[in-house]
Amino acid sequence: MTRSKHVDFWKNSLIGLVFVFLYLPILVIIVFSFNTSKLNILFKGFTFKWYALVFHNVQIMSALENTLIVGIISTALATIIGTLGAIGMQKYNFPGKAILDKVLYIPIVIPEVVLGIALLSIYSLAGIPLSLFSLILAHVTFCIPFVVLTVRSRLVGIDQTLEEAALDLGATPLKAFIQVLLPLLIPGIISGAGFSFALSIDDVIISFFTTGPASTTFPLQVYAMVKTGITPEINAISTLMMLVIVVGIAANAIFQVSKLKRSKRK
Amino acid sequence: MKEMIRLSSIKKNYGDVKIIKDLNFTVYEGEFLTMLGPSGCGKTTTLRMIAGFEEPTSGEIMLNEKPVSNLPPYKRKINTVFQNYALFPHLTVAQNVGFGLKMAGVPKVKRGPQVEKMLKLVQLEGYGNRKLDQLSGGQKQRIAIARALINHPQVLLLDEPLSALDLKLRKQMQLELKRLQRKLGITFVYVTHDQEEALMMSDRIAVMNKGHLEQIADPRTLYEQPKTCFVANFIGESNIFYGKVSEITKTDTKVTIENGYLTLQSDKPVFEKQIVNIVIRPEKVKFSTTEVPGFHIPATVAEHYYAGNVNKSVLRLPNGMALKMTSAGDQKLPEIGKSGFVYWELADAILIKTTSDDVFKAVDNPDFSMVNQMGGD
Repeated sequence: MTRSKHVDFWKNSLIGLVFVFLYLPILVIIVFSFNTSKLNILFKGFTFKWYALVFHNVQIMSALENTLIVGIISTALATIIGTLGAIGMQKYNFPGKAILDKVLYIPIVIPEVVLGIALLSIYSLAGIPLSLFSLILAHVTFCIPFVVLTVRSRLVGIDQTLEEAALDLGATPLKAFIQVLLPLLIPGIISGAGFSFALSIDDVIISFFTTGPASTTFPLQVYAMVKTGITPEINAISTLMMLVIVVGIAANAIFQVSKLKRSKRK
Repeated sequence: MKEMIRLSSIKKNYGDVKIIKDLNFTVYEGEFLTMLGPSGCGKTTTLRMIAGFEEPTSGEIMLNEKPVSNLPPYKRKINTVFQNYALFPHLTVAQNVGFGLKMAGVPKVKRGPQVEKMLKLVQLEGYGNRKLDQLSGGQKQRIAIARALINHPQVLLLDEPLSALDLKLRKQMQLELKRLQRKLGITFVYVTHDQEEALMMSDRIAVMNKGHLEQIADPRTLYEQPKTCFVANFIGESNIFYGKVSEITKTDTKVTIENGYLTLQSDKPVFEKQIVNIVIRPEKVKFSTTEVPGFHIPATVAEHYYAGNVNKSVLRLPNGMALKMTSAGDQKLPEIGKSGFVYWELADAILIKTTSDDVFKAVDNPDFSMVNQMGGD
C-alpha cells in the first residue's frame, strides 16, 4: 500500500508540473489583463479598462478586420481550388502528374521566410502592389497544399464504383459529384478548410513580406505593439482570443458527445 | 424473339493488351444470359461496356436495335448490380433505393410509395429508414437489386453479385434472383465464374476465355455438346482424350490415342488423319471386372473418393492416363488395385474437332496431372 501511494504521489506531482509548465504563462497573461498597473510585475488592482481600450483602438480593430477578411476569403479560395485539384489528381492521368504530386507539397516544407521572399519578388516583378489582394493571394498559395492533402486522404477511402453507380442510376457527372462524391468528401473538406483558416489567421512571416502598410493583420499588429513592451492591452486581446478558442473547442466537444449519444440510442 | 442487346465485332484494348478480341453475340428480350469464364477472360469488361463505363475500341453495341456505344451510362436504360453493392454510405436505405427516381426528377412525394414497393419486392418492407451499417451482407445485396430495378431498366446487369455472400445465402439468393427475373420479365445479363451458378440460373450461357467467346448455348447443350475442350473442361468434369482418326468403316470410326485406340459412332463427321479430342463425362464411364461386349479398354482401379451422393474414382489406363469415373454413392465399388475394363455407350463420347492451336493434351491439364500424382505409380 505505502509503495503504491508513494508511486501515486510522484505520478501526480509530475502531471501537476506538466500542467504548470503548459498553462502558467497563459494564466499570467489572463491575470495581468485585469491589472490596473501598466507594468506586468505587480498586481495592483482589478479592472476591465484594458478591454474597453482594445475595442476603441482603431489600429487593433482594423487589423482584426483585415485578418478575418483575409482568413475567410483565402480559406474559401484555397478550399475550392484544393478540393478540385485533389479530385482531378485522383481521377485523371495527365502529363507531369507525378511531378506535380511531389512539387505540390513544397509550400508545406519550405521555410516560410523563403516562401515570403519568393512571393515578394514575384509581386514586384509582376507589378502587383502590396495590399489585401496580394496578402490573400499569398495565403491561398500556402493553404492549397493542406486542403489537397486532407481531401486526397479522404478520397482514397471512397469506393470509386459509387460514382459509377450514380451514373448508372441516371445521374449526370455533375449530379453524381454533388449528390455522391461531395457529401462523402465533406469531412475532408472541412478539416482542410479548418487547417487553412488556422494557418491564415496566425500567419506572421509570410504576411510580413506580402502585405502593404494599409493592410496590417492582427498578428502583425500585435508583433508591432510588442516591440515597445507588452502592454495590458495585448494581454486583454490575448485573453479574448483564448476565450474564443476555448468556447469553440467546448462547443465542438459538446456536439460530438451528443452525436455519439444519439447514435448509441439508435 | 426480339433482340435486346447485340454485340458486333467488339474489341477492347488497354494500351497494347487485347482484353476483348472480336466478340459477337445477341441477348434476347426477357432472357437470363450468363457470361461465364475464369478471371481475366474479359467478362466484366464486356459487362462494363454494355453498362457504358467503358467504350469499345471498335465494334458496336446495340440496345433495342439502336447503337449505344457512344452513349454515357446515364442515358442508357440499363442498370447494374455491382459486385461490392456500391451502395451510397451517406444515404438511408430508402434514399439509396429512390436515387434513380430522384435523378429522373420524380418529386419526393411520389418516390415514397415506389421505394416501398421495391423494398417489398426484395422482402425488406419497412427497412427504409435504416442506415446501411445496420444491414447484413444479404440485405445490402437486396437493396442493391431494388435500387437497380426502380427505374424499370430494359436490361439489368449483374456483376458477380453473390460472390461476397456465404454459401448457404448464395444458394438462396440464386433461387430468389431467378424467381425475380421470371416475375419481372426483365432481361438479365449476369457475370460469374461459378459454373454451377451459371448452369442453375441461366437460359443461355456465354462461355468466355481469354477475351473471346468459346460457346454460347443453353446449359444442357453446353454440358452435353461442348464445342471446345475449354468448355468441356470448364463446365462440369471431363475426361479428354487426344488422338488421330485412323480408320473409318461402315460401322464405326477408330481414333488412335497414345497406346491404344477409341471407337466412335460412324456418323461422326470426321476424315482420316484428322486430329480430334474426345470427351467422356465421368458419370458416363463404367467399370467391369469381366470383359464386356463391344468397345472397352483395360484399366486398373487407382483411387476412390466418397462425396456423399456420389463416389469419385480414378482409373488408370495402360498408357498411364488417369480416367475420372463418378458413380452413385450407394453403389458397391471394386477394390483398389483390381484390374478390369472401362467402357461407355458410344453415343456418350463427345467429339471435339481440334484446330492446331487448340490441341488439348491431358498432360497440359493441371486437373489431370494432379490426379496422376495422386495415383503415384
